[in-house]
Amino acid sequence: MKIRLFCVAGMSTSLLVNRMREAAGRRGEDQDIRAYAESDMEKCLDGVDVVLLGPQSRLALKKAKTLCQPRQIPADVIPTAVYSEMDGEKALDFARELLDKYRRENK
Amino acid sequence: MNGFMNKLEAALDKYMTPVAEVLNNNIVISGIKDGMMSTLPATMIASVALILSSFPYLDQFCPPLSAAFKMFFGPINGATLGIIALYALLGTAYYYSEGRNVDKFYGITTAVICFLLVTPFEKAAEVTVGEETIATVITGVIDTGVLGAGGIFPALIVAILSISVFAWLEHKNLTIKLPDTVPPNVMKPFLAMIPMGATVLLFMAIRLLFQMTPYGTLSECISTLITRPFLNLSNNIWVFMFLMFIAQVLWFFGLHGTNLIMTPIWQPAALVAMAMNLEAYNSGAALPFLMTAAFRVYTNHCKLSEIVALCVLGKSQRARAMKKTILIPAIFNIHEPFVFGLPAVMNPTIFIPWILSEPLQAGLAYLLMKFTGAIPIYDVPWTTPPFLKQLIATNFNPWAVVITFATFAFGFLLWMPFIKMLDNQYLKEEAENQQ
Repeated sequence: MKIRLFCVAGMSTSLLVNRMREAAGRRGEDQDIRAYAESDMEKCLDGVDVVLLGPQSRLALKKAKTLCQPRQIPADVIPTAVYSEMDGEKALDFARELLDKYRRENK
Repeated sequence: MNGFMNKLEAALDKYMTPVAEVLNNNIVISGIKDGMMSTLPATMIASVALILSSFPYLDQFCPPLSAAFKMFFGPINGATLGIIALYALLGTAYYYSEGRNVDKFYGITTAVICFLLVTPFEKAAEVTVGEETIATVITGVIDTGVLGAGGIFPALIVAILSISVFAWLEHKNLTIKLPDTVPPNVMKPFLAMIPMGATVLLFMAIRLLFQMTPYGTLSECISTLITRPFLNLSNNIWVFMFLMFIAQVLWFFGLHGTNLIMTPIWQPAALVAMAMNLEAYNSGAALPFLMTAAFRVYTNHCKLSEIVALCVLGKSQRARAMKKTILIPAIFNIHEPFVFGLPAVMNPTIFIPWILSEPLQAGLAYLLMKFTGAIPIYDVPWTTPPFLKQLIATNFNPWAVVITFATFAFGFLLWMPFIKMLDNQYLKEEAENQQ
């Protein structure tokens, strides 16, 4: 899964990215997870499976969806509870569920 | 308290969120915001060159080296900060073209043509021949003065206006129609020609129009009517404190208040002010502004107060567990682990210090800065740890350390009782859970 996280500067989401990578490593999965700044979103969407936004950037969801829809990438805001605990496992699950749901709905 | 919180959130959703959304999604505002941000590399390079060309205390210890540094790094300023309006023009034209969905290259070309059209290609000068001094006008030159920090506002306005007209005409399909068999690369320049030409004609008319006014040029008119008032606003500590207060209210609801409020409203004008200060500093003149974009070096680390308070005073397991995740990012001014982890978001216990502490810390920094003269001149990357950051920003003024520590200590004291209250809540919850 190619997951991209976005927040204002891609700094605080990069902390969650580390946790998600650790979680993926524990599960023995090979995941491509990175964090970028919101303003670079358009350049960072090639071949991406899921786009996640930090909760502090939730007003950018509209913009994210307009960029992601034509590329058929599901996008959503990371739940505050997951973000506050910096829980890599739950964030990974959230991304997985988001993708599965999107694929079910858009068959 | 809960009822009040719910009402506050409802009010926020109703009034503030749409405003924040407009500020963040409006293409004109984003164009200017991103355009101004794109000048930062040039300003940073100029800043580093300035630091090196007037390296602190070097002229006292080793004058030859100081002179060599001046000679080598001095000219960089003229090509970066000296023509900063050009970079603001290019950046804004680029991002605004993107927003208006027109070809970026032709958007930039249009903006540059229009900007130069309203710029005089001459400079008043005095020439001394023998004993006599004659006032004359040199033609065929562009005064770099109009491309300096004072030219930023005209550049921004011309970029937005010209590309708006260009985009409007292009989306009206007012273009030269060529048969489909013409290759796209041949067609592209023709497509841009009519919209670009019409925009240029409009700006030619604007040029003639302003020649009839007492201002003479559009740039001069904008400088007088718009730049000054805007800069006075960004230079006002009360405005800054009020915006910080709003930003903190947004943060309370888990929105990136700093980016939603400070960046679009305050930052563009503050960057202009900073460029003007840098110009003055470079020429050895008195700084025209106290508060510029560089002032934020005194407020970036505000949240460190409560974070250290929690790490030092917290006895609960929760506080101790958080220590590991919040302290190190906070040294680099990344506070989200704390904001969402405490959580500070929607936490009524800490509502009061949350919204009051930062504006007051900013006010304190302003007062101390005014008295000590430790005015930040350069903007330093916001992730630079405190103390080092303020030292670099003020060109190694030792007072900067004092101011940084004072704002930190003030925040710490203000937060202390609230952090204790919160920690006691956690302790109680933990005791209850154990039973």
